[in-house]
Amino acid sequence: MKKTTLQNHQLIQLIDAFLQGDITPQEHAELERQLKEDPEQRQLYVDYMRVHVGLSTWATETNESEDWIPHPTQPEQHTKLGTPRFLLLLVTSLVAATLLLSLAYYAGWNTGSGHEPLIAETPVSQPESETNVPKTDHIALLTQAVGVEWDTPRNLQPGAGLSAGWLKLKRGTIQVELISGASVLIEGPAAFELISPLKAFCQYGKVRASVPEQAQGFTIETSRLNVVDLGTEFTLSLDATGNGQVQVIDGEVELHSPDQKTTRPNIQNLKTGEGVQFDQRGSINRLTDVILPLLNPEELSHLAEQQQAQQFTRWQEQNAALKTDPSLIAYYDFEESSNWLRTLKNKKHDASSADGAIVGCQWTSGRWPQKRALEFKRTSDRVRLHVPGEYESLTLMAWVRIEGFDRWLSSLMLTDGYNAGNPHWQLSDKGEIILGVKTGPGKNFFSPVVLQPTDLGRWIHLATVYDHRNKEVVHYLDGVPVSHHKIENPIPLVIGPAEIGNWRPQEHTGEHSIRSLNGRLDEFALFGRALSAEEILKLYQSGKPNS
Amino acid sequence: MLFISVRFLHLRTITDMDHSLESQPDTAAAPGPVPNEQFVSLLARHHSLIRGFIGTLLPHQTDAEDVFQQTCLVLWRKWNTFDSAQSFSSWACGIAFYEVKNFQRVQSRDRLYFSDEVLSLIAEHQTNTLPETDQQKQALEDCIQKLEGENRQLILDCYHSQRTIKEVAAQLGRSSDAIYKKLSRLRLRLMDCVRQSLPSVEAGS
Repeated sequence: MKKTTLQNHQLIQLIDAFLQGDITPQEHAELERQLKEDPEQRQLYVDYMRVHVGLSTWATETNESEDWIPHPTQPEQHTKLGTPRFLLLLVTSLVAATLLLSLAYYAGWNTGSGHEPLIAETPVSQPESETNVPKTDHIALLTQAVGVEWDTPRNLQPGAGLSAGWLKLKRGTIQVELISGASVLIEGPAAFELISPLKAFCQYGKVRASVPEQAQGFTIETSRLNVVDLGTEFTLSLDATGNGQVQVIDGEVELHSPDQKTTRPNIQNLKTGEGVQFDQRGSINRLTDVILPLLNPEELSHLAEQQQAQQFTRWQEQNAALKTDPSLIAYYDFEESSNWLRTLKNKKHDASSADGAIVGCQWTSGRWPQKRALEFKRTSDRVRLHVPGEYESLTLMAWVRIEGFDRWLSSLMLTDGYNAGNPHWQLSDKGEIILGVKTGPGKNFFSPVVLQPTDLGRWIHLATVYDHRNKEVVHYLDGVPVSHHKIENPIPLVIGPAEIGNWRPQEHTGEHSIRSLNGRLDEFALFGRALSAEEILKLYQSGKPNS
Repeated sequence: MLFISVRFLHLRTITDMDHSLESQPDTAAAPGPVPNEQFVSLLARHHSLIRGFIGTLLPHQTDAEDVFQQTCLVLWRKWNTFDSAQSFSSWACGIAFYEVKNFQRVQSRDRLYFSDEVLSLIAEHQTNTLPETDQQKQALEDCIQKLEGENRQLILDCYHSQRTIKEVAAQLGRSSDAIYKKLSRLRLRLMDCVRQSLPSVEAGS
């Protein structure tokens, strides 16, 4: 039964008073009464409080800039105690404290006062070097994904770096290369946890591991037994109940009991062609038949090629349709016919101008092996344009693969200099999308931090809409709006001489005059109108490299 | 607070990278007598869940923070009692619950807290839905991204900065009361958004 809004409203008022600390004893009694008597009100309370707690977690973890004024990055001098760092320190301290305790114990330093040493009094040393810790802790790379449906909120794509953590697949097959040199094929449905470069845990799923000499000792743990590879290749398949089998394709593996206290260290060795079947009760039987439950890397790459060909075709259809959009100002699909061409054609139907001049960049492959792209690497690499006209609203769109943030600002498209009405579209090294518009003083619209270390090296879709009529700027990542910003006084935008992937400052002697992009571009469009969220989502969906 | 810089330790899972934050049957090997890598990893993976659980029982952020820290210490001390067949999150939340009760017993002079009975009811209510909290975290983040920039900024100002609501209000030229009301509306809106974005769990009648 649904409670009336009024009753809910009353409960929320009581919770709010409780949160603010100005609840009266009578109100408190009433709140307790409602929570005690009515499970539905309890649910409401829990949901509401989870939002409250979630907001403080989010606020601590988010590093959104205080205002919209760009501020040059300076190395942070102080350590901010946001939750993750706090946790790192706490956890680190716990482990350290424990080590100290055990050391103290074994070294006989414990004077036997009967009290535990007060951890809180342990000297505090400033974790000054923590601020310079690199942002990534990748231990593996996702190298293939075919027909994958992830069982996670985030859709990982080939090229993504992977930290320790879970990989969960509803279906499809992926290939993961660990930095130790071991590589695994995982076939869904599967739940597989990367623990370290030499260790992983398989809850269920099918896995084929190839382990070169450098990575000998690579271990896949399961809840029933651990498989330690002594060199080359084995398969493991495990169902949701924990029953499964291990088979050696080539080389040798050792099977260990996960519980080292109760069993001798290794149960048995398996050599090429041998295999065992095990179940949740702990019984292990030799396999008599040779079963290869998994596709091999060759088949996988063949399937990957097929998938890519389909996706490429889908994109080509969209590409043909896009060329006829009358609102296009400039459209570069980077599908030039020769490596020798140094002109980037504006592919808008009937386009007579706004071709780009390629400076320095190398031709390379794009979202699919068949697709072409330009690589921006050196600080001189750029595409120069001249876009005439004045546009009340503007949509900028690009498919880009960022390889690294070399400096505070990385250019997507910037006008030469920064004069009235000029747009500057760029990324910050923190992972913010920024649209700057010169209106008297420059106005910068920063998205929150949306690009993560895992986004480096994968193809991402970026779009920013400058909407004159609705007076707003909207940033999109992968077809989804990530932030909305109000424009106080919309002015028409003018582009004129401009650059993709770089910036030619005029009379700019400041610090941030180098803003070259480190990455690849394989599609770039300028529309003389504000595209809707649906249109942008559609562009993303028919252009995304993996589906 | 206790900070010791330990650079020689290589911790394997500290960050909550999106793909590692899964609500999972915990996969624990046998706990040793000393907190180990595994403890660190499990704690890192579940910290926001445990912190969230405590937060529903103790509305004051500073209280909840204190109890969370205390809970981490107790978890570490009791690590050898952890049975790997159990789920880490329910074990940890069970301990957190007693820490909340202890805390309230000591503190109860100057503030209104829930009775033990109500605390138990709220805690019990959550035990069934613990695995969903990671999903909720993600859903909440998505919902926050849908808010207008100024509303997000207000949340940051009120929840993150060292300033009090009064100071935030003064800066914005509004009354504290107006800010409290605004925050309440935003929480309600986010709660609805989170509820909508998660699959319904209602079963039967």
